[in-house]
Parts: sequence; structure tokens; C-alpha cells
Amino acid sequence: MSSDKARLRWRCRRGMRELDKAMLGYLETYYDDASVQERADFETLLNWQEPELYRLVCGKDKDERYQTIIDKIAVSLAGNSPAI
Amino acid sequence: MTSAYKIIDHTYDVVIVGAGGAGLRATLGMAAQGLSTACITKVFPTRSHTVAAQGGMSASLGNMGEDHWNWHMYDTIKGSDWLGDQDAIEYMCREAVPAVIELEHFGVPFSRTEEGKIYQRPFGGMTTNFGEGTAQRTCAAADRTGHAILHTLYQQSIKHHAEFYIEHFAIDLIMVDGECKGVISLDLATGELHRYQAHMVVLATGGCGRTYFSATSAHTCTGDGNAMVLRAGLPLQDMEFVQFHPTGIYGAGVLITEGVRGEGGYLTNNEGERFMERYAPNAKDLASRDVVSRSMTMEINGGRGVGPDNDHIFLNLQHLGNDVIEKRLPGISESAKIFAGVDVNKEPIPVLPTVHYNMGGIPTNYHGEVVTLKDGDPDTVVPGLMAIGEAACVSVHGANRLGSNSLLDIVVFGRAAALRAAELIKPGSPHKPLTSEDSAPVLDHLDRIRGAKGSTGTAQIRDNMQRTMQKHAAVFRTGESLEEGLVKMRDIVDSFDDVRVDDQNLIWNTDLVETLELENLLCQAQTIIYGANNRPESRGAHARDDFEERDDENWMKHTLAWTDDKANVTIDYRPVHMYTLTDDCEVIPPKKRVY
Repeated sequence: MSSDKARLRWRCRRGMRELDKAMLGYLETYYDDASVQERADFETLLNWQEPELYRLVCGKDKDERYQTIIDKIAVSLAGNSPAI
Repeated sequence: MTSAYKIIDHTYDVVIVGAGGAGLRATLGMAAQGLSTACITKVFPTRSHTVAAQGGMSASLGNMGEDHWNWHMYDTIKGSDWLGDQDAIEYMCREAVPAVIELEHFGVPFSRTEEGKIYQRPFGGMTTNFGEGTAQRTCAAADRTGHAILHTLYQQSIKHHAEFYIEHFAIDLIMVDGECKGVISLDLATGELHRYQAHMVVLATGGCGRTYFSATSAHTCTGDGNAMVLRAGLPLQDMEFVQFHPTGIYGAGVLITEGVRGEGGYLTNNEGERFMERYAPNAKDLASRDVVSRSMTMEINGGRGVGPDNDHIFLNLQHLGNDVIEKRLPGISESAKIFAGVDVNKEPIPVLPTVHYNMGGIPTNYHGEVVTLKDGDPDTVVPGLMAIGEAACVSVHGANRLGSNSLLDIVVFGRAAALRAAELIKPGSPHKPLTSEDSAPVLDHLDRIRGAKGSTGTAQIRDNMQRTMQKHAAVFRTGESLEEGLVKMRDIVDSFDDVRVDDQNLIWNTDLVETLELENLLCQAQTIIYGANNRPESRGAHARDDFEERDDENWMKHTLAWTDDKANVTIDYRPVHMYTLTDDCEVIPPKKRVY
């Protein structure tokens, strides 16, 4: 693993199990193939506070800028592979 | 491998490991009293697992009606199934009131009544007048109490010039002649080691939910401090007491609130049967957490679980209708959709009893000082070492924790540790220099894991451990199943000798850190399953199908568990404190725990 990817993997360590699964799911499935802009947006999201990030992931809040990432997270979570 | 690490040395009066609610409350308190204070944390403070605590914290403020700390004390002792130490419980319930008011002054935005007082809501197990009425005792900051507490305490700690070492992984304590002298951490971003010398090290490292397959705990909950204590030759206490929540989403660990069953949701097995009618004919799906969790597990063990592996249960809400779900259970349909991929109007939610909280941990007195059994004295203080929060076993939760007593625990004992440290340590007092021999065991430990060149991946061993603990040491415990689990765990622990760490680089080496965490989890898992097998009674969260009754005569005592370097467990005991701290209240004698 590149040290950059490893750093992001660590930042996917969240305060809530729900967000661990959401953010790590994206990193492992979609990050490598994402555009430069989308990768940058993902890093920005990793700096969000947990309550706001959770609302976004659950679809309670919307933000056009991150919608592509949130949609991909939803797809990876819907597969519901057992806990990592 | 020869150690050739770059080590950066620090000296502080106190070092706190962990920046959840307990760690931050201690950090703030110690810094505010003029002690030079460092806080080491592996994740950014507001990403600590305390953030997941939404419910609130209990304190008998009496804002919504009459309340007394001794009613709160009674509820906590009963909830603990008489394994809690009554002096510590008295302390927690009394100090709850000033601790909450202090938090309010620090800036936690508690929800308010119309008159501007802190609003308090009812919570399970919290009563008035020794079990007669329902208490409104739980203070919350909307649905983000944990986040508000972390945010406020972090800001306050910075204001008082505490120094933070963020994204640092603490490897081990520096122990010299039975005293704790400091701690060594790995800076994940630079790969450098930091050696902190301190008059007091405070472990606030949380629980070890990740020993199990299905846990509500975040990935970061690996109980690193507990494992450091075991490696320092000290015991953990009451580790067999693990609280389960009946309805975690299968595979995700995400909690589905009990409110769902309150609104008419029910559980079914693979025959579509509402099996709770058999186990609890009156309360059915609304029986207490431990009863529902046990019944679900018996269905699964009986081959009646759902899914391809018959290893979970369905929670049905389809019949409630969209209006009821949206109005009375906000957020449930979103959670179920996103984390289970199901439409609750059309399909059931796959659920499993899910590990939620460790009542056990590092034994301490009510000042937060770590204690051990030494030369016959069960209250021998270990100099230089404290533990607080879920990492500690004070013991205020005994065999079973009440909801909203965990946020209280972290704040009260974080504060108590700071008060005690101020009594014990004169700011700026000199340190006796450490020798390189003092920290050699820590570096050898790191070398050993870093150089692991076996053939088994960390994730494989972790998965084996989690599945074994879930199957053999979860809700439904019998001697037979535990014995079987012990044999399997022995093999799994031994398989760690063959673990492989691919990369020796120290910068952002998550493989190395996850392997260190796995090692930590393995020794804690051993203390849980050994303790469970060793305790032939049912008390609180520890329910043995072959010993269904509580046995106060023989087992009203705390388990102490030590591990050796092969994670073999040795057991001894400490007495439960059946005395109070003051004459302002009386000891609550044991009786049957019925609700």
C-alpha cells in the first residue's frame, strides 16, 4: 500500500462504526479509479465532523459536491459484506 | 532485528493515553491545575468513540421532579447485579451533579426546559424512590451529546495549554520495579518513536469491542491500554462481563434502537416464527436486552437462524406502515436502507446480538488509581498509573451497565483522576533519568511484531478470533461451548506466532499498527473467555445456561485475570466493596434483580 493510501486508510478510522464502514468501503472499492477532483473531495470529507458526515452518508443532508461519493458509498454498503 | 529507532524524548508531569471523553476530561483537569500535561491519541480527539454516544448522561439534578443521588445509587447497584463496588458507586452518583454543572460551564450545550434548566429524560433502569417511580435523570445535548462533550473538552484542554500528540499509537508502558514511569508511542505520520517520562500515566483507551465479530464499537476500539496493562504483568478485572445489544444490523454492527420493538416491531426465525412468544410469553419482543439477546442466540444455535449461513435473525417492521415508521422512528428507514440495504416497508432487517460495552477493564479505586492484588492486599495501588472510562473497572457498572451511566462514568472519573493527580504531584517536580534498559522491552516488542515474517495475514487471524468469540463467548454461554471456544482460541493465539507483517517501513504502516492491535485484542479475548468459563453462575450480562442462578455466596467477587507471554490466563479475585464511602447512605444488600 502506498503511504498516501495508508494515511487515508487511517483517516477512515472514525468515531462511529457506521462511518468506518462507509468511508473504508469507498476507499477500498472506488478511490483508486476516482478522478483527481473526486479524490480531493473524499479527503475533504474525511475532515468533516462525525454528526455532519453521518447525516450526509444517510441522505438526511444533501450536498451536490459530494453526491457522487455518497452514491458510491451507498452502493458499497448495500452489498453489506460482513464487518471488516 | 536490531533496534535503530529515532527516539524523541519528552518529560511531563502527566501523560494521558486516549482522547475520548474520559481522557479529555482528565487532560483538561490536570492541565488546569498547573500540571504539564500531554495527551496521546491514535485518532483525532473528536473522532474518538465517545462521539457515538448520543443518549446522554445521568445525574440527579432533579430538574424535572424530585430526585436524589441515593436513588441513582440504588439503581446503579441493582443494575450491576451487585457486582459493583458501593463506595465507587456512591462517589459517582454524588459527584454526577457537580460534574454535569461543570460541563455546562465549560460550554456543553445541554438541551433546556422552558425555564432554562437542563432538560432531563427518562432512561431504562433509572427510577425514583428505590425502584418505585420513573426518574427523569438523563441530560442530553440533542442527539449529539458525545460529540458536544468531546468538542467542548478538547477546546478547554487547548485553552489550558495541554499538548496533544495526535495520530500517535501507544505501544507499551515503561515499567521499572513495578512502577509506571512513562509510555512509548509511534508517530504514525513520521515513523518516529516518542518516549514520554511522566509522574503519572493515565490510560483512557476505551473498550475492546473488536474482540467480537458483531460489535457496535468503532474499528478503533481495540482496548490497547488494557493489553499494555496485561503486558506489564498486571491483571484485568471482570472481563467476562460484556454487554450485548439485541438488534445490531447483521454485518454492520449498526444499532437499531429498542424503540422499534416498542412501536410493534418483532423478531422472526427462518420458519417465520415469532419466537420471542416462546421465551417470554408476557413481555415477548419487549423483554429486557439480555433475555432477547439470549433467545435470539438460542434460535441461531438451534439451526433456525436466517440467511445463507443461518447465522442471524429478522427484525420485522413491514406491518407498521410508512406513516408510523417515519413519525415515530425517525432515521430508522435511512439507517436500514443504507447499512442493510433493505426497505423497511417491504423487507425485514437482518439483525444479531451485538457487543456494545465492556463492564470489565483495569481495576482501579474511585480516584482512578490502578490497583492490584499483591501480598494478600487486593487494593495495592500501582504507583504512577491510572485508568479511567471504559478501559477501567472501578467498578461502578459491575455485571451490567445502565444506559446513560457511561458518559457519567467518563466525566466523573476523568475529573477524579485530575483531582487525585493534583494531590499527588507537585508541578514541575524532577524525574529520575530513565536508562535505555528501562525502555528496551518496549522496543523489543515493536521489533518482534515488525519483523514478523510468517505466512498468515492479520485480517485472517482477527476474523478467526472474532468469529470464535461470537460463537463461544457471546450471549449464550455453557461450560461445554466455552471449553470448545478455549481450545479454538488457543490455536488462534498460537497462530499469531505465524503472523506476517509485509512492510517494515514505519511511516503510515497501517498493517503494522493493525497487527499490534490484533495482538492487543487476542490477550483480552483470552481474559474474557477464561473468565466466562471460570464463573459458574449467571449475573448481569454473564448468563450461563448451565448455571442459571446468581451465586452470591461463592461468586460475589471480582475476577482478576493475568496473562503470560503466550496469553495463558491465571485467575484470582478481589472482594466486592460492600461498604459505602460515607454515612450519608446505607449499603444496598443483594436481592433478586427483577424489573
